[in-house]
Amino acid sequence: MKIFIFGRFESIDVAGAVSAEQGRVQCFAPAHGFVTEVLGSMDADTGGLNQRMMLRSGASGQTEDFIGGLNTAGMIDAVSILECESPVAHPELEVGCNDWFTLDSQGDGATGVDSAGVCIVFETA
Amino acid sequence: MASTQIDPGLWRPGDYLLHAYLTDMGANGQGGTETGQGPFVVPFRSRLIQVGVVVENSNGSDNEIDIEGLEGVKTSMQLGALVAEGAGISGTNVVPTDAQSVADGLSDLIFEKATYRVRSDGTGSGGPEGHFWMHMRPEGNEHIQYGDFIIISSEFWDGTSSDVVHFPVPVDCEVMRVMSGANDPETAQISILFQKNASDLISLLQSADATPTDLEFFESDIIPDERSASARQLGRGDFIECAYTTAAGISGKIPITIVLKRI
Repeated sequence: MKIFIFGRFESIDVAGAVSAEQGRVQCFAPAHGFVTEVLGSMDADTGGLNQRMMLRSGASGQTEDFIGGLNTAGMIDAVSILECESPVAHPELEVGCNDWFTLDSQGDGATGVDSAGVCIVFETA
Repeated sequence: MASTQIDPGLWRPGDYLLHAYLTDMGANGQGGTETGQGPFVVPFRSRLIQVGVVVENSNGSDNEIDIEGLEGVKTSMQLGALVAEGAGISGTNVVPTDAQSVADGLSDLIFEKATYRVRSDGTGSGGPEGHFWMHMRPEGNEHIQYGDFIIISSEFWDGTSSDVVHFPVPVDCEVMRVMSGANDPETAQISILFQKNASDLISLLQSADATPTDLEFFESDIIPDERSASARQLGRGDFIECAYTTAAGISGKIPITIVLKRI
């Protein structure tokens, strides 16, 4: 069973954490399975530099495993579509029940990622 | 059935997931009573199969999470609660801890096509934040025209007069319908522009009322015409941009639901 999980970034800069440009998407792993693809998009109005999206998962947030990353280089001057077809660090990482995804973005800039979306392709075991 | 994970054995072709994001309302000045809410739109008349919630970093106690607005009722309707008990929630907590109360309230529950919201109440110094998912199964025949479909469910932020979000498209698909709603009484008409790759018009969705009421629902079938025919066709590498504007800042989050047909 293939499930497409869509999410959008929280605007972390609103909360005041502006020293490092960052944002976060949280998605609940709905079943035991595998992350097979990650797609992300970032908008030009983030004012961001060298953005990195890092997908992690962990059982109830107690532990976190790095799944894969999406990277941009330099200033984002248009909506950038990023793809990670084979999660690089743990290509066979299983996501179990009660696990959750955290897609953090970090980069170099004055503001946090605001207008960004993500699609996580998830295959149940 | 209340659960913290989808049971693949319960999944049937045509089933879909909905998502709602619980906002920390305490951060918006509603401290004292810890509350949060997240709207969502049900795109077809559907049966609830399973539901799950993750709550995190709420600094809250004894959160109770309800669904409001069932069957188009615009007043609160408590149909069961997901309860996180304890002196405080820190880190990430998966609820429900009291699954039985949800099973009692939500078993065999039918959702009409409408706008709803998840609402949490509790005690503590801050409102909860979290994610709420629902495993849904269409009832009736309305969904059949879409064949194998994908649902995007998300939301715009509150407190501003404009917001934009875009979603990457994972497979070849066609945009069939866009939906939204009002989550709080608003003082100005809401307009939402859907565009392929931020340039080609897919649809313009507007609330019927100049002052949308609480839990209002509005939708737009995508009517084929020359202008939008190519824009509705999406594939890998494309994205859908959704942008709303209104003359005044919205007081509640605005849900977005997009129905995609796989081709």
